[in-house]
Amino acid sequence: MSTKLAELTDEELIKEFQDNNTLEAYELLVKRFKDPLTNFVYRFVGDRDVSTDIVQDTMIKFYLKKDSYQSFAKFSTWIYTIAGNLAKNELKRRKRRKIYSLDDNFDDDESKKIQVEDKSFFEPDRAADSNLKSGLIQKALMKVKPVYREVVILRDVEDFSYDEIADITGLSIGTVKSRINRGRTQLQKLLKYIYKE
Amino acid sequence: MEVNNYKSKQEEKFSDVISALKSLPKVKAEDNFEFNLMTRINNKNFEMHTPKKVFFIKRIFAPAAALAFSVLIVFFLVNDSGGNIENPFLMEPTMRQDFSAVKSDTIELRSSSENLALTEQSQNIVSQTTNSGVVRVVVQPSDAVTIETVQLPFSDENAVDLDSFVSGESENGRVNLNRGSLVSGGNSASSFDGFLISERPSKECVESHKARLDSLKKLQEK
Repeated sequence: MSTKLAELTDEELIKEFQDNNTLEAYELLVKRFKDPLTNFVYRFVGDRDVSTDIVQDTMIKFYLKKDSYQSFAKFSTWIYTIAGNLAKNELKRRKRRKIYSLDDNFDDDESKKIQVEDKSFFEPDRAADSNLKSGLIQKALMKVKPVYREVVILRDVEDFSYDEIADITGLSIGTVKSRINRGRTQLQKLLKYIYKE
Repeated sequence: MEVNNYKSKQEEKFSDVISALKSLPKVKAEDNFEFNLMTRINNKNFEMHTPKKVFFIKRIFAPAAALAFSVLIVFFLVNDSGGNIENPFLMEPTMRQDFSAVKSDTIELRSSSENLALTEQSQNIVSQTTNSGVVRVVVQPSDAVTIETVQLPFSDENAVDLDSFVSGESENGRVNLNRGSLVSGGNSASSFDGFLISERPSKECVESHKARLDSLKKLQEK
């Protein structure tokens, strides 16, 4: 039975879970999506523990509200929508709690801000280290406005198509394209010191 | 075709950013992720770690309500400190509950009260039965009429009718010799029991009961 289930597509598995309440189908879907969702949420919120909690909540919501999934949509876009919404709520909550909020409005000084925060920008030897580099990219990513960050991650980290991103975010394709463009521009300016090396 | 051109142009322009993002290591879920999840589901622990979305209206009105409440409290505090305290000497005296409570089917009569203007028959009942000041005529549910002497909550000998006293007339020509003790001082304890407000029944009430009493008396005589 489980080998048969493993061969099913995501959409067939959720149908099985909806129709027969097969817990194995649910577990298989969790197994397939836990890592990509964790990666997406982590890149979006920048905190490991929080991203784990958000993905757990996403899976709980999926379990409780399985009937709200409609078969004409792709399962992956549906589950990413849930995770994205929970992540956005978490970011809003954090923003309210912040005493000193980061300046979300991008300007030319942003790259300098990152340099000031992280002295390693002046140390090329250390910056060559891949772990450090990915840390810096993540830091720069967190400086990008959340509305742009979400679509950039979906496109360039999770490899979704423009159509799929439009489905996940509920935006038009035009808006998705312009937001990706703006997000990438911000990120490019923030990361210019890395590229110089 | 246009979409592909757009993609290739954009991806060329931002190739450095895209390659940087693609080079990021993939973060994986914790090893015990599924175990924790299934434990939560089996225990029906569906409480969310992430907070529920707070609606805009709620966010706006919560501080506004708090502000309005604070303003109200400050208003009352400021108002109270204005020294608007009621003078206890100007307050209306409270009535003695044990005496002023009157049953629905009873009338209190003072034997000497001229304002009640009872008929002759009912006057007779009163004069025959009472030597103390106050009687109560009770009409029972079986229409039997009884007259009860009302025990005053203080000694009648020490009582002073303030109206008569002020006007210089003593009640029934009786001079109350003990009344001076009401204002006695020094070491002797005062026997002052308080003021009694005598309530006169309304004219309509008296009239209705008077008619009823007379008819009942006539029936009894027959």
